[in-house]
Amino acid sequence: MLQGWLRMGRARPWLALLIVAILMCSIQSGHAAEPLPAPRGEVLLTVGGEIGRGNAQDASGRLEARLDRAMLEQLGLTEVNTATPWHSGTMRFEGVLLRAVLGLVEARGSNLLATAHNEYSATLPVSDAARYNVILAMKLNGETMTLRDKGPLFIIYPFDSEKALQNDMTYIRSVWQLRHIDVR
Amino acid sequence: MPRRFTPRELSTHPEALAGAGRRFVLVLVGTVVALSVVLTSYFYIQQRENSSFSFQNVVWDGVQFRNEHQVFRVTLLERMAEAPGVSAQDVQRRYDILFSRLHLMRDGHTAGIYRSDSELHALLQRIEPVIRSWDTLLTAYLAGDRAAGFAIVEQSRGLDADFSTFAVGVNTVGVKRLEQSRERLSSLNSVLIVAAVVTWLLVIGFAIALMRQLRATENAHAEMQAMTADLEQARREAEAASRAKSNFLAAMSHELRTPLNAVLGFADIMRQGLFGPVGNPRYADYVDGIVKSGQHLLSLINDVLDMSRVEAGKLDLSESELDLRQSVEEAFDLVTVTADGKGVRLTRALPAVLPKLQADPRLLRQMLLNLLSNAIKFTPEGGSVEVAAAVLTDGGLAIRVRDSGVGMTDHQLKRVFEPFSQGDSQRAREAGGSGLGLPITRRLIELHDGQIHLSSRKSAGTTATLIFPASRVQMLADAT
Repeated sequence: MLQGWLRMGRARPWLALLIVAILMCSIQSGHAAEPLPAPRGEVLLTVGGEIGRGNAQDASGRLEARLDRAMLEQLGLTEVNTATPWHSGTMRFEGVLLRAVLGLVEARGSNLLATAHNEYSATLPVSDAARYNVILAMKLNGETMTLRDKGPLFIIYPFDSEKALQNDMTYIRSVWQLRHIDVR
Repeated sequence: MPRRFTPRELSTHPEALAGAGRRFVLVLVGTVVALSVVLTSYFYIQQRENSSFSFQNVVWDGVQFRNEHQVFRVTLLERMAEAPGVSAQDVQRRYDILFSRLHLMRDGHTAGIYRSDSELHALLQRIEPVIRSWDTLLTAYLAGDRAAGFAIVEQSRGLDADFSTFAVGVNTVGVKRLEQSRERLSSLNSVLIVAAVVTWLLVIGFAIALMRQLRATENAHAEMQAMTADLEQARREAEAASRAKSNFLAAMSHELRTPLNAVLGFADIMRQGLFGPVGNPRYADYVDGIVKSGQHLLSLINDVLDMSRVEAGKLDLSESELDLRQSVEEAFDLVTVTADGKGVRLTRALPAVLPKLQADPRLLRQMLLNLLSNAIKFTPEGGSVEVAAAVLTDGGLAIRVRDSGVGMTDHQLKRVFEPFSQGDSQRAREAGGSGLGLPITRRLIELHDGQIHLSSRKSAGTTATLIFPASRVQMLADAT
């Protein structure tokens, strides 16, 4: 045990150097990333906080990504068929994968604060986006959702795919009329 | 001195124990099944309670509905007051958000709960058309018609009371539902507690029953041992008594024979007139009588001696492989004189090839003698006695002694194997004999694992058959 530590001690300077090198590389690549193009249409979603890529600055001067419908749809639409507590029967939702959006803006945090148009907000762990096909639904049964149908963006978990998702914790994270995501 | 048990007590004891055990196991299994059913349903219901959309969300939705209404009116009023930073779009967005709530009142889990309460349902029926009607009014207002804006504000203020009632009602329904489910859970909890208590009682009861059963088993075991000892003791005593009787008879018979031989010897000397003739011829008759009676007594004593030997188990077989033809010959030699004297013809019908027989030669001769002397005894002058032998289909050997004598009735036939009984008492007295011949013969053939059969008809003779088992019969190789 002690010997092991001693060996580690000898190895430490090299280890530290390696970590620094990796960090340098990552910062370099972050700087090297191209900024997102500016949105051309109406902005549906803004993403702020710990992100590496954006196309604007928010009120406090931090990097922000403003995404319109075309930019979102470019990420590809994913279909989720599920029942929800707010609809009668099984619904067909289409939208972009949350993890694709997070990838687009190079999100680095572990939690997401999702805020709706009516100032409702909920915190989602980023791991949810990795584990489940959580989508920002844009269409319901083929129709584009408006504010009146709880659009334009509705965080939808594939509730029916797993019993564990059918609980209040997931339901309160399913923010509808989503307008902003803050990565923390 | 160990306690004595009646057999009945002992035989019912273990059964009663087993019955009680079965009943107890049934009760145990039944209770365990009932318990598991209760527990399963308990967990199932709890699971459902957990997974269902909670009523807190319903309350939240109701309160939010009221909020959106207020926020919409405030935004509209701000716009009408031309507050800075409030655009027409903001008003429209607030209306759309409010409008999106109407949908929740119709679809999904929440709608069902609102519909289930008649008061809430009536309120929604009043609120919904009013909000819907604002769509056109708002469009008109945003196009410049301020009167439409005022109309919306006016109607919205009119809805305030309904929204208050709605929010309170939703809260009441939610709390009531929550309380119901809590009550159900608590009642299930008490069921669980009862189940736990029952389980404990069951465990305790089981332990007690087990202990009692163990103790009962131990007792039964002890009783059984005591009784076995008693029985063993009784058996020893009975055997000792029986041996004592047989020993007494054997000893007595032996002791009786010694003086009797002296009597017979002296009488024989007198009859032969060894030291000169007996004076009076009548005395000669008496001497004859002494000799006859003495011989009869001697044969009686011999029979009793044999019988008591058999009974005492002192008769061991000294077996050897013997020739049946020779045994028959020897027996014939011994009875020929008697038969000739009585005028009875003796014949034999033995097959040319006879198997060897595994038997005690002395006892076989005695059996043959017994049967032959019986036959001669009960056959009148001019009659005949025949000995025959045959191998049976199962490999056994049958020896048959048939006479043309007086025969027996069925009733007599039944009693003929009982010691000291004779078929025809009258005739027996004439013929002499102890009445032990057939009982002894039967014991002897049984010692050889064989059987004796007797068949007879009154005045038509008697047939006695000895049967030796196949295991004692050895076919000669050249006999096949």
